[in-house]
Parts: sequence; C-alpha cells; structure tokens
Amino acid sequence: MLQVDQLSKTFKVHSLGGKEILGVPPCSFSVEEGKSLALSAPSGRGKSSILKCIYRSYLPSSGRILLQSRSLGPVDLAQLDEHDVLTLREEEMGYVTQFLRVIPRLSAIEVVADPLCRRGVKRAEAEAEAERLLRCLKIPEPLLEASPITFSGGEQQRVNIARALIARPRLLLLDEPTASLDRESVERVMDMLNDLKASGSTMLMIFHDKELMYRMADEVMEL
Amino acid sequence: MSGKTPVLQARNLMRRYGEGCPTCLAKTGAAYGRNMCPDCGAVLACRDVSFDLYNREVLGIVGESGSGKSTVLKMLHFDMEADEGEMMLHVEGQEPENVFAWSSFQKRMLRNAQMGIVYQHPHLGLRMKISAGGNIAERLLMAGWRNVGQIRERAAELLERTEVPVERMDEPPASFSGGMQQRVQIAKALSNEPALLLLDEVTTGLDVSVQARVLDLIRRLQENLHVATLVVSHDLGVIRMLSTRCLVMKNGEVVESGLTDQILEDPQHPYTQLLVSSALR
Repeated sequence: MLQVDQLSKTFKVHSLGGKEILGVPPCSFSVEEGKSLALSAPSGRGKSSILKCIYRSYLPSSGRILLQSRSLGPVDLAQLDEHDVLTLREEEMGYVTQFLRVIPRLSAIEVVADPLCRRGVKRAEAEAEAERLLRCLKIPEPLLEASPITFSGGEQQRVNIARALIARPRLLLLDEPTASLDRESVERVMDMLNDLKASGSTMLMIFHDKELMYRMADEVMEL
Repeated sequence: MSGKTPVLQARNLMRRYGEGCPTCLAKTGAAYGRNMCPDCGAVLACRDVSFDLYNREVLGIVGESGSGKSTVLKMLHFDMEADEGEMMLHVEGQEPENVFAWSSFQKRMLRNAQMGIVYQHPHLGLRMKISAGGNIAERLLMAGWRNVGQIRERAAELLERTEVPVERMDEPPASFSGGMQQRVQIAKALSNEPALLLLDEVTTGLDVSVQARVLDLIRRLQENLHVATLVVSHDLGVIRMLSTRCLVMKNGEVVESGLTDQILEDPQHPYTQLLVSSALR
C-alpha cells in the first residue's frame, strides 16, 4: 500500500549561509495493506522526518513515496498536488505527532471531533464518538469540556491520539504515540491500535519502547 | 487534481505606482529587497501574484508591511484597480469570466452579491455613527433585500451568530469595543452569504484574549458556511490557526507557497525561514 523509494531529505539553512543538513539519508521500504512497520534507529537519524515527508509537513528532497489511495488511485506523495494531499489527510491519512498544537478555547471533545466533522459527519455524532474515545483513554470527566491547552503532557498526548484515530484512517503514522503515558494509558492506546489494525488499517510507526515496538509491529526496519 | 474547480483564480496580478520603465520588473522584488525601481522610481506594490482558491478553503497570505498582501486583497475587492492580471471567478451555474474586465457597475453588483470583506480598521468597513443593525441592513439592501422585517430579523440573527449582544443592535459601532466592532464587521461581511470572504488583518491591534475570540468565531463560521476565504495577516499564528495553505509575500512578490504546516515546519525561502524562526512560539 505504501512504498518508499530512495526517499531523502536535506535542509538548506539560509541563516548558515545556505548550509545543507542531511535530515534523512536515502531510504527505501514498503508496507503492505493492513500491516504495520516500525522504524527503529537511535535519535537524530531522521525517523520523525520520514513520517513528516510522508505526511508532507516536510517537502521530500528526492525519491518517491508511492501510495495506493482509495479515492485518488496510485499517487506519489513526494510530488502530489497540495489539494490532493489535503484530501488524503482528510480521508485516508492519520498522524500522531509528539506535540499537540490546538486552537485555544476549543474543548477536548471539539478538538477530537474535528477530523470527523471535516469528513461531513454531523457535529453531534462526531462529538459523541470523540467523547467515547476520550473516556476510553481515561480522560477525567471534568476535562472533556476544557481546552487541552490546560492539560498535562500525558493528557494532551491522549487527546492527540484520539484525534488521529477518530476518523479510522487507512494509513496511520505514529511518532512515539506512547512517549509520555503511564502504563495503564499505554495499554489502552495499544488496544485501540490493535482494534484499528484488525479493521485493516496500515501503520508506520516509531516507538521508543522496544517492548511495545515488537508487540505492535509486524515488521521492524533498522535504519 | 481531484476534479474540483477553484472558486477564484488570480493570475499575474500587478499593481504599479508611477509610470514605470522597461527595467522595473527586473530590478525589484525579494531578491533585491526593494519594490521601488532604482531607475524610474516607480513602486511595484505587487507583481506576478497567482493562486487558486477553492470552495471551503482558507488560503492565507503572510508577509511584512509593504509586502503587497493587502494590495492583492484590495484588487480582488475592486477597491483598487489592477494594472495587469486576471481574476477568474467561477460562480455556480455561470461560465468563469475575468471579472477585472467587467464594468464598474457589474463589479459593484458582483461585490454586493458574492463578496464579503473585513478590514483591519473597523471604520473602513462600518459606518460608525449609524446603528450596528443599520450597517448590516445597508449591506442587505445593496444585495437586493427589501422587506424591513426580514432585514431586521436577518441582522439580529447575524449579530447573534457573531456573538454581538442583540439588544445592542440599535447602538452605533462607535460605542462598541474594538473586538465587538470587528464582530459587527464580520456579521456585515457574511450577511449576503458571500462566495468569497476577504479578511484583512482582522485581529491586528486587538488584545490577545479578544483576538482568540475573533479567530475562534471565524473558524466556527468557516466550518458551518464553507465559504472560500482569503486571510491576509502579518501574524504567522493567525495564518497557522486559520489557513490550510498559504502564500508568503515579500517586496511585492510571492516567494513561497504551500501547505501551511509545511511552510511553518519546512520553509524553503530565506525570507520564510527568517520569518518562521523569528515568530514567537
């Protein structure tokens, strides 16, 4: 479903006189539909950058990122038109970052429901599902209507995960989804991921915790 | 492309102050850090600005003062004439046309029927001494509304939607706070259910808490109305919060465009890199 072919990313830093910094050395891998692949490497080897290139928060410098899209057919994410990238983000791709960036004044439920609303699901329905996920992730009752800006790191991370999972993306990119979570929350997240995987989602992931990585991944690639 | 047609296609917009000479274009722009021609003294407020705006989309234009971003907006709203370029507007059920070529009467009709604008300074968008409701009514009259009862009802509904206390609709905006004036402007801009909404530095000069409320309002309205919106701001935070794609302008030209998160996380142009690294987090 996803085939990454000689992908590389170089940053040209103009404040350093145009110095080029290699973020991702050329890499190739593929993930079959419904399978999960973990990327493993010490910090600073560009694992997160690979996910960002696929999500197109970074512009890939070279290589191809071939995706079998349901709505657009076979596409190369490295070259894809911006509007098509947005369509894919809305309909097929989910991304859990290490950092949550939210709009002030929106409640946790609204933040999580947003991706479903964008897909045209009725607000009330989307919010009910958001609430279900947040409760499942043990977000305390009084926080459901509060802005995630006020949440602890672990709570924010759970909001982040709920937001990425709510639309049940066909391709899920996970960047250390359990990094700041306690044991119980980790188990709940793992359950949710397994549930999503059972329904056919494909996953590309980075786990700091080796044990979790081997539990979750069908395959591990050392970079 | 996924088969969607843009609502608006701007092509090679150019606006020049002064006569101009053959070397103007070659000797100005971001690469030179100036928009005044060293040979003839003409100022190129903007040049070669092209973009597509889709239905439901919020496109941002970010840049410093004098980068030409407001000029672009003014040309699209016919507040200012373009020296060159095309503005193709695709209205449902009609053939796309370059509306810059239209007569001023046609432009006025189009503006009344299909466009809404919110200016940085409320006094540009509102008549400060007539009531808030009257401001909206005026706009509705221009868009062809005639029934007084319906107009008043619609005005009240819009004010409610933009969180302006309806009981104050008979007061003039001059007696409102800056944030409230801005919300009245937004209500007025939305009154004719425009296909195109233009926002020019709408939160500049407001306190942060008021700013957050206005931004929040715009986001909610956007979600419900699906209007194509162009947001001009010097503030990357505003662009980040409202837009999915954006253009970066400097010295009258677009130096970079892309998905907003990509522009912020992986800026390519030296100016964008400077802008992003200078922004407060």
